[in-house]
Amino acid sequence: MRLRLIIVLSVLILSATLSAANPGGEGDSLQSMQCGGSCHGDAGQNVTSAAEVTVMAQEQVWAGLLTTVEVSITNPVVSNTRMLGVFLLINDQAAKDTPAHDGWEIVADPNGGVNNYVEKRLSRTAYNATFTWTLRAPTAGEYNLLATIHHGGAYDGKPAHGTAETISLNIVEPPENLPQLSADFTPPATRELGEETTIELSIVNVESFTVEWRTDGGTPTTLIVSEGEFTLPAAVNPGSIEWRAHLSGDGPDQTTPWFALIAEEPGWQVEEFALYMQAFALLFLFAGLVMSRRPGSGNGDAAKIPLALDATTMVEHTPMMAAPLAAPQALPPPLDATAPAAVTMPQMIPVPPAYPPIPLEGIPVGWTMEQWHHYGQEHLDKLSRENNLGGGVL
Amino acid sequence: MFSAPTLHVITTELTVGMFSLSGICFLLIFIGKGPEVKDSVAHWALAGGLLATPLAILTGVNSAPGDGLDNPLLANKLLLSMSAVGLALGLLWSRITGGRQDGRLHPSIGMVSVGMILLTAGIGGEYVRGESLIFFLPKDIVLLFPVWVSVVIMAMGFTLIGLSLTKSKVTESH
Repeated sequence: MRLRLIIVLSVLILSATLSAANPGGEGDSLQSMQCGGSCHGDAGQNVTSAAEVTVMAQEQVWAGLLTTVEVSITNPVVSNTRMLGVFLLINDQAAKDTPAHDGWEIVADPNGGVNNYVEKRLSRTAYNATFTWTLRAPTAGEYNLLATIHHGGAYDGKPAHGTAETISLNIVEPPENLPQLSADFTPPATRELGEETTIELSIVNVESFTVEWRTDGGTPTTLIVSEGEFTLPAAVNPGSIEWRAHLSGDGPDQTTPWFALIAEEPGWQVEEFALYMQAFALLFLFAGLVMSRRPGSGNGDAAKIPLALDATTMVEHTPMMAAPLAAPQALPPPLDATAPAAVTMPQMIPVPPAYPPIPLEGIPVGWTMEQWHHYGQEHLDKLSRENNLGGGVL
Repeated sequence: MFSAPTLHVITTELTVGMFSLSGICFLLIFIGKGPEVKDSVAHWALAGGLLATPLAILTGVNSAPGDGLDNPLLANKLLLSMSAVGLALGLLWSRITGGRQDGRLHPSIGMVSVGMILLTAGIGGEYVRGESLIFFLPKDIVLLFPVWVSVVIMAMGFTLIGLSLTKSKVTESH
């Protein structure tokens, strides 16, 4: 029995795979490099990803205006979960390295949130992936941006880590008459399936504008603009479309970056009051059912659950020890050897259970009488063997 | 300062550990093996797990991303944990008022309660990490009663509890 148990436990332990990462990811968040949920700090615990990571930004970025940054990942060898995590950073120091530390504002991340670290599950057929952030640029100056990735894959269970070349951006103040989106305009990042999206552009120094949209990487289609508003078509399936505006005015014409609009299935919703009611109803019902069941011959001798069992008291309460000795039975008359043996039928006499006799030194410390009944004979045999062995040696 | 996720790890370790210990002892009671102290350990560990459960729930709610119960896994966690707590409370009450329980029904209920808590913890792991050993269970399906059904069930529960308390008092007076 014990051998089988050891074998089963050994098989269970050996069947566990060793992994140094979180296969299910850690979720989108604002994170410094190396802190996306896996302990990649130890060089022996990770490997370099074979993927090629590239960061691309617009050539001209105006201070305080919106721009987009694309992170392109080529040929990532991801794990079976197809999970890929990407960081958008300003340096590789692993501290104070999020875009916000340089004054960048993340307006929309690739998943429609406002995080510098995002995770996506790549499709089975995808060998490349592009992650696009929409940012509001900081004040004029020289800035750096880079991206790092991490993922699982065919690396003996170790997480793979890759870093892009750092790019430099020269951000300048926009001309006073530059046609632009107003500073308080924030493009919508997400919407639900099946609903059209009407956007009213908030613009400055603009006399006229046109808008076009496209599916991811598709051919742009021009939209009708009416009274400063335009409507993007409804999405049938989860995914994203992109749109941008061409702005015309006194200053040089401007084209906004492509803004992604992600269509998602409606989130799971539940009437929380009904759920909480059901939860408490189940609590009271199960408690009541267990409390009202017929007691399983409870002995009722313990109003409190004992903190520990006292073997001494148990021994004292054991009938074998506590009961007064029975009156000595009269010895049978001596057999008369000369008398002929009487032929009698054997009778069935009830025999009390044969418990092992208690030695003079008592039962072992910590044992209960129940244990003695079960294992006492084994203990006596062991003592006997030890005594015999000791005698032989001595 | 400790964040809610860190505290949640501590409190869930506490809860799951105590319930696991209780479950092992209930198993020993069920099969009639092991030391005599298994009965005490089973119920004290169950009580400890019950005390730690609210802490685990509170820190879990604070550490969960998103607002409210926006995932079926969270809803099932809530239903399972509350059911398990109900079973455990009933068991402890039976043990305290009725003394040591013979038979296999009592430890069986204990093991079911422990199993439900462990299932709750497993679903939490799936919610956070997206992986689970119990992938074959339909955990993304929530059986939600109408409110009036819940009210009826709750009334039944209260009635059963009231009857049990009354019966217990009558027994004590005798």
